[in-house]
Amino acid sequence: MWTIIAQLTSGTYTLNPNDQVWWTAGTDNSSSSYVLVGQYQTNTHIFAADGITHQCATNHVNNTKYIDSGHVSVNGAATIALSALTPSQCGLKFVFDTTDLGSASVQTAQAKFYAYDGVKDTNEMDGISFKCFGFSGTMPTDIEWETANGSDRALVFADQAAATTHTYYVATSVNPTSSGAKLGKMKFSLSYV
Amino acid sequence: MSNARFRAVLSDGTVVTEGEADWKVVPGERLPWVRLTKFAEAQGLYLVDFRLEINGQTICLPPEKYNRFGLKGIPPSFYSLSYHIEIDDLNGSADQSKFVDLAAHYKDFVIHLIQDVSENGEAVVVVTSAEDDVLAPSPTGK
Repeated sequence: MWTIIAQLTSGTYTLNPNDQVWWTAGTDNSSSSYVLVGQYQTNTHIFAADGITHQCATNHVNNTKYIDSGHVSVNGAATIALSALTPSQCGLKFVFDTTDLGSASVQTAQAKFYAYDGVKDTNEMDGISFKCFGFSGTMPTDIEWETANGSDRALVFADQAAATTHTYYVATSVNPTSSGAKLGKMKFSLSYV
Repeated sequence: MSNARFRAVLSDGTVVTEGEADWKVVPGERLPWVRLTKFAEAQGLYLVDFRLEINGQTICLPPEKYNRFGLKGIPPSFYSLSYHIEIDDLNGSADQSKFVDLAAHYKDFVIHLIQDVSENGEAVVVVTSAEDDVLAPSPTGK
């Protein structure tokens, strides 16, 4: 089964099934916090399904802002190379465990993460550049951000050896390329045996 | 682990059914399929038939003596089994889906039977190139 955990500036928050991830330019999701076209978010939040209840009102989700293909700013701090980013600094943590598989030990392969338009996996979200970087355990996905918009451009994680729990970390950064609300879905998938 | 389980026939005639006898899921150990591949390899056996049982129905992959669709007399080089799990729509309902992928591997192509086992979903058949990744193939016995 999956558990999705938001890694906050202090502590963690386990997402409920209907929670939403918001990328904003402020400490909330009000109109004054909307990200401007051509810029990247400076804050990341979790809201409940109503889009109003702020699930990380005190300590926000670790924000990983795209600076350029090989650099990131974490929570507004000075720019660092992606190679210096650590798993604990990523905003999202995905845990796949085998409790509902009889706690068997499984090997994983082809773990992928991407955004899409919510209709077809290969379709990109319109009007947005969706940057991702991640870790399979402690193994980074690359040395550069991946534009993981649509399944054909998914962020791909290293395979993991047999175990009962498998953990993946994802840092995200978004940049609207046109005005207006941007809606889509994100998917994480893997194969195991 | 789900409402679907595999049934395999080894080259000595032994029928192995997931969830029965020695082929149950054991905490901390590899899944029955992986244990079966290791057992077959150690015994010098290979699989001649591979099926998926789901909700009382049995779906067969092409067996060793398959006789249709132009594959007469051409047995698979080997079979493979993998599971797939995904979580969708983190900005919405966060649906989890599970699939079983049984495959018969030939020299140049692979026939996959992919069954959605989340909510008795659809089964699809996909043919791909032989270069597909295989997590744990059965031993090639020929």
